[in-house]
Amino acid sequence: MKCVSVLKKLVVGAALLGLVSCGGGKKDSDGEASGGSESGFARSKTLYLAGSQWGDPNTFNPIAESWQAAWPVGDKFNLMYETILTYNSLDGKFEPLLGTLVSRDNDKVVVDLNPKAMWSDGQPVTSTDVKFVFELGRRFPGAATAFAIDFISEIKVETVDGVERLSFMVDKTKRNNPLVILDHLQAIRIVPSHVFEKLLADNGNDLSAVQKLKIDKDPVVSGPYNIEHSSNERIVIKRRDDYWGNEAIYGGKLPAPEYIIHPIYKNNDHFAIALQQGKLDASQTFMPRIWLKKKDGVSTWYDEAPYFVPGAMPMLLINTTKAPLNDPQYRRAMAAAISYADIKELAVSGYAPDVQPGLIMNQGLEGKYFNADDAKEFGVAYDPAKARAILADAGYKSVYKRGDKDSTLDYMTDKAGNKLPVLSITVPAGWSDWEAMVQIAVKGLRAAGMDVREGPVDASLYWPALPSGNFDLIMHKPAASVTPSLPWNRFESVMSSRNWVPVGGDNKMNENQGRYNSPKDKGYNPKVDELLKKIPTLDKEEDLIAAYRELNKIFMQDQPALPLCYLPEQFYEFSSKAWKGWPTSANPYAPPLLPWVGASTKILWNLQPVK
Amino acid sequence: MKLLKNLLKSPMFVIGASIFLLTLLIALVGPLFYKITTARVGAQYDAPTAKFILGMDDLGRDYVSLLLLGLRSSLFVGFLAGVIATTIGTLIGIYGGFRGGVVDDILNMVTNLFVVIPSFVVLILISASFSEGRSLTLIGVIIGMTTWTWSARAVRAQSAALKSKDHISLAKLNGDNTLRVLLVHILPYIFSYVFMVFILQVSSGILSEAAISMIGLGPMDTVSLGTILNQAKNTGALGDGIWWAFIPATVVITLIVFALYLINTSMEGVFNPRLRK
Repeated sequence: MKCVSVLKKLVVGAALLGLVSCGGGKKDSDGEASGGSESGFARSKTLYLAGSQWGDPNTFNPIAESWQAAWPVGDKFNLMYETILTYNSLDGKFEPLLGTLVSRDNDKVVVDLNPKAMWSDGQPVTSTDVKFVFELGRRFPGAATAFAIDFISEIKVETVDGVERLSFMVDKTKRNNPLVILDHLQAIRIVPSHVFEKLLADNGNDLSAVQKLKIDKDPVVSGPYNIEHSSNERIVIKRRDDYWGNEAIYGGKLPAPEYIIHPIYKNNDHFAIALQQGKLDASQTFMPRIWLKKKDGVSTWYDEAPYFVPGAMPMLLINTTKAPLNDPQYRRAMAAAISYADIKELAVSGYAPDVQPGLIMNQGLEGKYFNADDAKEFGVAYDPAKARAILADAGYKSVYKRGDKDSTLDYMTDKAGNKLPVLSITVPAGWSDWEAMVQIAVKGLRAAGMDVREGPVDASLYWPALPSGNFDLIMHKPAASVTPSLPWNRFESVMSSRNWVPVGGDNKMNENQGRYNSPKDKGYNPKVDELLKKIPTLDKEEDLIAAYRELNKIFMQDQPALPLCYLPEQFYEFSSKAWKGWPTSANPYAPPLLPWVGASTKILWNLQPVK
Repeated sequence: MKLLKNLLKSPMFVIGASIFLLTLLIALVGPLFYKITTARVGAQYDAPTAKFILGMDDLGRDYVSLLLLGLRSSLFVGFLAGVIATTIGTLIGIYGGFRGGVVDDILNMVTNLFVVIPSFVVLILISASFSEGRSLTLIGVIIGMTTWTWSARAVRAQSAALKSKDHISLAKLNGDNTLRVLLVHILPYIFSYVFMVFILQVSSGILSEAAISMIGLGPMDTVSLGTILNQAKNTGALGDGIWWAFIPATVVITLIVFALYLINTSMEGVFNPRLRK
C-alpha cells in the first residue's frame, strides 16, 4: 500500500512539473519562442532594464515624494513625465526636452517651451503646468517640490512668436542661487495641471490626500511611454506611438522597444546572472569583476579599466561634534590611515581612477577646478607612518593588549590620558561594495592605532541616522548624481552651516550631517559659508577656479569627511545579445546612464533589435 | 577501556575519529607550521599558485590562513554550542524523565514548544537583534540555547526507562536526594547517550554557525567558515566561477560534520547491544 501511495505522489508531482514546464514554454504573441523572455512579450520588441526598483511598486504618483514613486516616475526619470531640460554629463550641455534653454544670468534663467509638447489626452503642455509644479510649495508647504520656492521668486511668462517664454527669476533675498535653478530645470518633472487641479478640487484641496493616490490607471503623461502593468515582480511600460517628441525631436522616428520591462530582483547576483544570460539588456547595479563577464556579452562604457565614467564620491561623513572626531588632527590622521588603493582595487573592482585629496574630482567636467599642487600641499594621502606621527604629535596614544603594536589594539587615550570611546562606522548591511570599503577603512584605521569598528545596520536604521547626526562616522554618497551645480553641490552637502542644528531631539540636517563648522562655536570659519554663497553667482571661469581652490583648501585642512573613492554616477552595464546600438566611449552619443534618465533617454531611439 | 577497544574495532569509528582528530590537530597546531596572515598579499580573488595554494579572497588575503582561522572559530562555536545545548538538554531531560508526573509534563511541554518553533528562525531573530558586537561566543551561546531540545528528548527517554530500576529504588530507600540520584545513579548509566548526543550537537552547532553566517548574521570582526562563504556569496564569486572561494570552506565543513556523524553512528552500534552483530 505504501509503495502505491508513494508512486501516486510521484505521478502527481511529475504531472505538476509537466504543467509548470508547459507554462514556461509558451510561444509569444507573434509566434516566436520566448527564449528566456516572459510570455506575451516578443523579445525583439521588449527591452529589459533593471536596477532602479527594488521593492514593491507602491505609487506612480508624480507629485508624491520622489523616493516613494516607483520606476519610471521618481527622480529625473523622463519616460512618463518629462523635465523641461536634460543635462548631458559628458559635455555639460543642456539638451531640450519640454523646453529649450535660452539664457542664464544671475537674475534669471530663461527657457522656451516647445509648442508641440502635448499631454497624452491631447492638451498642450503649457506654462500653467510648469507653474503648477514649481509653485506648488507656495500653496502647500508639504509639496515634494516645495524646495524650489526658496530659489525662484517668480516665473514670468511672455509669448514670443507663438512660443511661451518662461523666465525663472532668481530669489535674491532667500538663496540667490541661479545654479540650483538649473539643477531644478533638469530634475523637476512637469505634471498635467488640469488633471491635478481637478484631483485637488475633488479631494477638498488636500494635497496629502492627492499624494496618496496611486495614479497608475491610464495616467495623463507627456513622455514616450506609459504604464501598462505593475506587480511585485515587474513593471511594464508601453510605447506611446503618438508621443509628441517623436515628431518634434526625433524626426518622426519611434523609440525601438515597444515595451520596456523592469523586473524586480532582490539582490545584486540576480542582476548579474540575468544580464549574462541575456534576459536583461541593461542594469545599473554594482557587479564586481566586470571583465570576467565580458565573455557572456556584458559590456560597459570603456572596454577596459576603469570601465565606467566617474561621477560620484562615496565618503565617510564624520560627526565633528564628538571627541576625538572634533579634532581636525585626528581626522587628518584618519585620512592618512586609509589605503585608497585597496578600496579601489578590492572594494570596487578598480572601477575608478585614483582618488585625490579634497572634494573636487580631477576628472570630467569638474576636473578644471582641481589643483594638483594644492592637493599635494594641503591634502593628506595614504601614509600610515604619517597617520601615526599626526596622532603622536596631537598627544593620542594607542594601547595594545600585549603591549606591542603587532598585537590586538585595545583602546586609545587622548592628550589628558583619558580612554577614548570605540568609534563605529555606520553602513547599511548588505550593501556589499560599501561594506567592503568600510572593512578596508577599519583595517587601516586600526592598524594606525585608532579604535574604530564596522557598524553595519539595517537600511531602515541607516536613513534616519544620517540627518539626525546619530553616528560616529557614516558611509554616504552626497550629490550622488552629476548635475549642473557640481562640484558646488558636493561642497554644500558636506560643509554648509546654513541650517546648522546640534545633534539631539528631532533635529535634522539634510546637508553637513557631520555638523561641521558650527556658527555658534568660537572656531567658526565664516569663509566656508561665504564661499558657498558666492560660487553660484560667479560667472567668470577664473573667479570660479579661485573660489573652488580656496574652499577645497579649507576642506583638506579641516577634513570634515573622508572621500574614499570615485565611482560612476550610475553603473551602466549592458548586453548586446537582444538589442544593439548602446552608447560607449567609442560611440558617445548619450551619457553612460540607463535609458530612462535625463539625456540618456535618446538611447531608446538608437537601439536596434538583434533579431 | 573495553569500550574503546570495541570502538576501535569499528572501521567507521576509526575513519571518523581520524578525520576529526586531524582537523582538530590542524586547527590547534597548524598556525605553528603555517604563517597565518590576514594582511593583503595579492589581488582580489587571485587564483591558486604554488605559494598560495588556495588563492586569495575578495580582499586579497591568503585563503589557507583564513581557513585555518575559520576552522578554529567553527570548532570553538561547535563545542560551545554543543556543551550548552547538551547541558541544558540533559538537565531538563534527566530531571523530567526521572520525576515524571506534572513536572515531566510541564518540562515536556516546554521541550515540545521549542521543538515546534523552528530553532533556525529563532536563531535568525536573536542574531539580527544583536546588530552590534556579535561575537563568536555570542553566536555559540545563541545556537546552544536554541538547539537543546534534541538532547532533552533523547535523555528524557533514557532517564524515564531507568527510574524504575532496582538500584534507583535502593538509592531512594537509602535516603539519597534527587540530585544525588540523578548525578550518581542515573547519569553514569546514560552517559554514553549523552556523549553521542553531544557529538551531534557539536556538528549541528558547526552547521548552524555556517548557515547563520552565510546569510550575514554571523560573528563580526572574526573569520569563521561561515563568514568565508558569506563573503564569497556577497561578492558574487559563484557567478564568476571562482571555485576556491567556495569549495575549500565547504569541504572543510563537510569533512568535520561527516566525521562527527561517523563517530556518532559507530558509537551507537557499539553502545546499543541490539545493534551489535
